[in-house]
Amino acid sequence: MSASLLLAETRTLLRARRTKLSAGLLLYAVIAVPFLLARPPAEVVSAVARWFPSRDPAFALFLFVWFDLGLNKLAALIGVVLAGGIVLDAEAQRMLPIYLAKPITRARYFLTRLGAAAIVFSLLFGGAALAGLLLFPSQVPGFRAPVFLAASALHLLGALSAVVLSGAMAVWVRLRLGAMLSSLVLLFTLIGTAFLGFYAPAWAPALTLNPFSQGVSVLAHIDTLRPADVARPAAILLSMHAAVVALGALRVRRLEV
Amino acid sequence: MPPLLRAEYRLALARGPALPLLVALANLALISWIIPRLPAPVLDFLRHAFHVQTMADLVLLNDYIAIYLLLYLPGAFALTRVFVRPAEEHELDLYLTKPVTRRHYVIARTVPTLTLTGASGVVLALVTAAKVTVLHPPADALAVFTAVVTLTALVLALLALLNVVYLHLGEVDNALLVASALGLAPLIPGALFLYRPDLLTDPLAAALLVLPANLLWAPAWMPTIALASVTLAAAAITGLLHLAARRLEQHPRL
Repeated sequence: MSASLLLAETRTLLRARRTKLSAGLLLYAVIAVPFLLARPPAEVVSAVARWFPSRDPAFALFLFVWFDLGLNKLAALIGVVLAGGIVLDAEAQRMLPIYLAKPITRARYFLTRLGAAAIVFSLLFGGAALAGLLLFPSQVPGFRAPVFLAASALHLLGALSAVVLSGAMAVWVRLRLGAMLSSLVLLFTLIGTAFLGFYAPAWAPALTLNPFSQGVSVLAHIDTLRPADVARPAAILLSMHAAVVALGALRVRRLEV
Repeated sequence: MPPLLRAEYRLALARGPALPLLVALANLALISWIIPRLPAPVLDFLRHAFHVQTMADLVLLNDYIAIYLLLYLPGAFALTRVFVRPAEEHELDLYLTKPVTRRHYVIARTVPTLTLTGASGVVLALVTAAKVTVLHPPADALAVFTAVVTLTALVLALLALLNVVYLHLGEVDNALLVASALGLAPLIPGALFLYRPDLLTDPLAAALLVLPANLLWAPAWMPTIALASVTLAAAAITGLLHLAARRLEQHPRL
């Protein structure tokens, strides 16, 4: 990966209107979630207490809604618009042959574009977590910053699968809109099943390869969080991301321009 | 039928509504497999939260969300071919130099997408009604069919609105972000109803806004509601198509 190209791509993406729109959507989530949870019905609190045991049911409910309703859906959308068209957008604008005439291999070009998308995605979601850290302590009963930060870090790693899958899908499907639509549908399916292991614990093993399930696995250990509870799913997620990125890089080497 | 419209229909059919339809059918099958196997407390929670009763209702609640998204998203992506994608790829000027008016261009590129989305909706309505009647009895097949038709009418009206919004966007990525946000917006009252029912205590407001649970609350009224929805959607689509054509005729960048 070329550092200067990565920096240039990241800067370009940071200035793009879609990044600003994404930041606006995340800001909306930061403001809307505490409002949504201001008066939760008793049956919601008791159901969530059953699925995510914690001495602070309100904090467990907050983490569930923040990740499920607030961040996961946005992760799919933002991941697809940041990475779902990489390489194909340059091809559509007839710029790809010019880029590839530079001293850079196709795989490095793909990795650099994907890396820039991942950096911007991380800045957006990291920024949302930091904004939340300022706002949530005063609005969420029983808010615990260390647990929130650990859960946010792992969730970000899981949510990065939206970038990684979309980027790989782009070079495998080769049709820009088809790739983006396929990524979005796949991501929504993964997100829709992310919490099934909490509702029906017998199904949890079947969700090992769902990155969004791994990304929220901290919710099973809210009161007893240990480094291993974050490190194990993080290792699984990193391995999955590496495999998907490798598949994308492999495919892009064989693209005909 | 004008040649351009005929060509666009042929292209839309070739690109195919088949794959999104197959994905939707697979989702309907998956939902019918998963929901009845969820633990009883989860099902009780959903029944209580969304004011529904039967297993068919619980399955349909998820079916309707899947159908809504799987009709809306392919339609929203396909409509980028009207303005956003040709503009981004600098092809719009080329299309508009052909002996075709801008109005005909908008109609030719929009109507096939809307027609195929509507046809997919009718197929999904038939399949969903048959599915719940066979797999999750007792179920009111007519109410289910008309509920999906209502959902389809809403999707078509939203797509026609999106088509106008797209005329203000010049990049596919921005357009898809806006399209997704617009598509998810009608589902927000459902989340509000789950977590803040105190804000939706008025029964009429809840019945109008809490999509898709509201499609399960008055099965006897669904045929009438579907008829009214289709009529309103047809009027909205006609008006919005006219507006899109006018906007393109007066577009400052062309």
